[in-house]
Amino acid sequence: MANDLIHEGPGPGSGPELSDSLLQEAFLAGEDPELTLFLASFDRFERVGGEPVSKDWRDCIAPPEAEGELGRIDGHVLLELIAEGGMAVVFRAEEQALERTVALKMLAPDLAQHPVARHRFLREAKAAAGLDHENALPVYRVGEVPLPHFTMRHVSGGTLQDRLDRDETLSTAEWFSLARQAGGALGAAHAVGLIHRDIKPANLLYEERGGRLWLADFGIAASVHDPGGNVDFVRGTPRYMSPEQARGETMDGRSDLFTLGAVLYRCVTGRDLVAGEKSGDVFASLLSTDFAALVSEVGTIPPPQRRILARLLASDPDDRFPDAAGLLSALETEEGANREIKSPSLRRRGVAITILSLVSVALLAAAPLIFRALRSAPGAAAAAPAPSLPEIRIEGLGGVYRDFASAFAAAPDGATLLLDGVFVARETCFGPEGVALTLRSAPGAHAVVVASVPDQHALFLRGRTELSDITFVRESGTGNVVPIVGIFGGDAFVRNCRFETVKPDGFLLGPSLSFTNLENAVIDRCVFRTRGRDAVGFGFNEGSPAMKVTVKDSIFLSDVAMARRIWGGQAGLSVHWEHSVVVADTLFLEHERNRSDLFSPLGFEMRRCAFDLAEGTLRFGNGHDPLVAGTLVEWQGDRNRHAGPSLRIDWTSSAESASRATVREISLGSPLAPPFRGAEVDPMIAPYVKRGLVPVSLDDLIDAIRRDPGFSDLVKETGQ
Amino acid sequence: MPDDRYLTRETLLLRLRDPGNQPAWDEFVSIYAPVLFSHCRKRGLSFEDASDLTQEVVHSVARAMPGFVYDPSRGSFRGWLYTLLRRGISRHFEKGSRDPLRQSDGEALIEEGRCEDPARETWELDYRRRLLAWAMGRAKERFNERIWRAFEETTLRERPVDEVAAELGMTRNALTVAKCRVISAIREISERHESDWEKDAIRQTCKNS
Repeated sequence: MANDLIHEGPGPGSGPELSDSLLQEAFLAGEDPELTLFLASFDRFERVGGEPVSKDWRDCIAPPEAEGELGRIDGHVLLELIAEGGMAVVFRAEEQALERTVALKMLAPDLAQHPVARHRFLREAKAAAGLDHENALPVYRVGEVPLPHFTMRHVSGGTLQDRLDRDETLSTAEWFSLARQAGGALGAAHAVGLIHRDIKPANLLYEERGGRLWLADFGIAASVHDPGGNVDFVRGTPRYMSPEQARGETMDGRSDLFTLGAVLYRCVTGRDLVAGEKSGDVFASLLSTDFAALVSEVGTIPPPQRRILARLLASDPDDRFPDAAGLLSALETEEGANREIKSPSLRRRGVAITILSLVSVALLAAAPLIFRALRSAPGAAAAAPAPSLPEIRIEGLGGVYRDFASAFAAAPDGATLLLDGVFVARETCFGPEGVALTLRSAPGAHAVVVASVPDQHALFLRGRTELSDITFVRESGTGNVVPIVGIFGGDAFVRNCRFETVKPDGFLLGPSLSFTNLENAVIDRCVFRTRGRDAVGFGFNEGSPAMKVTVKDSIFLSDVAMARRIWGGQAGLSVHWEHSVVVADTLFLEHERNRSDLFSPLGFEMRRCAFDLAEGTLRFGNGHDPLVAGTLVEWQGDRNRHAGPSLRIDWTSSAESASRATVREISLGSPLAPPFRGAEVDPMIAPYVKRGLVPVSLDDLIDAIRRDPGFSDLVKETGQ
Repeated sequence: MPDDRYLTRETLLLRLRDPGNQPAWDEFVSIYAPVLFSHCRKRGLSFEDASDLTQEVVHSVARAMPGFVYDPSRGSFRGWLYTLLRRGISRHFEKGSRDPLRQSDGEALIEEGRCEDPARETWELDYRRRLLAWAMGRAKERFNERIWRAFEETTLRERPVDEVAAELGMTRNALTVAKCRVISAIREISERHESDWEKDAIRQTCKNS
């Protein structure tokens, strides 16, 4: 297809046909916002070729007039060189007119010649001057002659780095105070569109008396409206860089939150987040480590701080606090919690019961959804009333356990755990590493596992895992993005389970299930109702095997049905769907990559499925090159049906629709007419109303789908 | 005998020899800078690095222009430009930046002409698209808003012809005619730009003959 577009032949008038699609593509390519930004900032050639200039700042300023001076500039007397970086020099100076001591920062002379660097330095100074926050170092004046410079408050006393050099770690109270102040300053900066980009202990000025923190040196800061911060972007200190910054991707305020997290990690553990002496090693670690997981494994960090750090250090910016305000509010909560935990009277068992009754109330509030689930649970003929406390028995062994932790501790390899009742997870229950386990509802019972912990899994299983006849619910509502159940490293078989992520007000959020580093996963007769993220996620780390996932007789109601996250390696994923229903915005999302390896293969085999995809079929996040990716996606479809638009592949990173040509033809099969009508609308289903699916409840939806004439032949075939 | 027809019109390439010829440089930059930039981005360079390299290449062209002798036997101007870019990218990765697509491995072979450059096709595609986008921008200046919208709404935004015709108060026929005029203009502008390079080549060859 591309060949007829290449025209190198001589002479006018023999050009190729201007097809509509070609014109559209040209038009769309021109609309690319990144391109627009580039053009706006592109240095016109005429500005280049000035007089060669001295690189030494001493040659550019007015000479000293008295003993002890280093020179003069713009009404300031330079007294002492405080810091010299690649981009700028900082002095302690005296402002003559006001007779006050200031810090004066000057742009390096060779960069001052570069119109773009100059322009940005001054713009950054002006933006910082506009910041008025008690923890943002005030900028006083900005000048351009003879070199771009600006003055700031001079803070005596050292930096946080000095403090850490002396004392290794901070006390908890100091830690929270620092986090709060830094968060406040960042919030103010982000509010005016300024990203700091270089938060590190050396840039946090710390007046020990009084504990006042100043966030300074927006030295390589950038306005969000102008993606490039300076000429040589890799001047950020690798150790305190966010993954997206290391990848050279567009950053926003959340990148600052990550680096603040790295600083706070250092303050509480005494160790750097990323080890390694060489930039290369540091980069590699930055790009391939799951810091949130790392943080949860460090035992010496008290839980409240651990929770904050896990959120700050998430590799995916979407998983972090959305903004500084989020951080501040979490700090407030956790600092309060921190105080409470110290209270000795709270006994563990008592707490468990209290929490259970609180949750029961919450569950009751969400009654229509949850209790309907309990009643019409897959496979349960008549649900026995749930016991007041949940029970786990291990098949073949005696004893009754009340929680997963104790049951896991007792379970031998290959054990089957029979569950009964409602299990509320207030923190992650880790399955024993390498131990094969089956979890299933006891006969006649229907177990419910409720994830009531904000940013963690309810269950994290680390061996071959079978889950059957269980309903998993995420109940807490703080914007979770972690699945309810994670299975890591061992094959997974999930049968006849239901996954619901729901807030008491009926709004759904969060993924359900994730498979990481495993070879074989089967999802059979399951129902997923999730919103806000993918229903099922697939994760790959360096060294993980190729993954094969089979989905049968299942129903997905979500924004994104499946997603892949690759943190390392190039293992491929093949997905086989059989006789299942997907009502979603997108079938598959390839997340932004943490490491820019070659695209990993992706294969789909979809048979006898019904799709209703509002936004598109496949979506590729930032960092993926359509040209490369397109060649490695395979699709095989057979007897599928679809109700929505037939195919769309979206690339977040660019509007290049030419990529379609390189992905083999994807057909979602013949159209499926939406026949559903209903008087009332379940709020969860409401987003799908516009596409003609109007069932009253999930069960009615399932029934309606099964009754659909277009679907009935599929149903008949399986004899259901 | 050189064809006088060609001599009366200075080609872009000739005009680029004069660094003071702003319109010529504007045209060059408008068309080629985005193509250079996009290509860098596709090859995995960050926004900043891509901007810098694009600038470098444009400056190289500026420095090369005054004494530039275009030899058509060595390929098109566009090809030469691409070679500059490709080498720039290769240098960039040699300096130790991450090479997301592991492309530097093949660079030596490409340089020696021993294997095809897969990215070349992308370059050509990008160029063609950019040229059209640029030509569309120029074409727009030639028409009144109504005629332009007839084209934009139907061809670019794919709205139904009848709907647009009604909205603009045109008959279906008139709309089709308007579309045709616009597309012809776009074609003419883009072809004229393209032929500039070739004419210069012919001019050069004629000079030497």
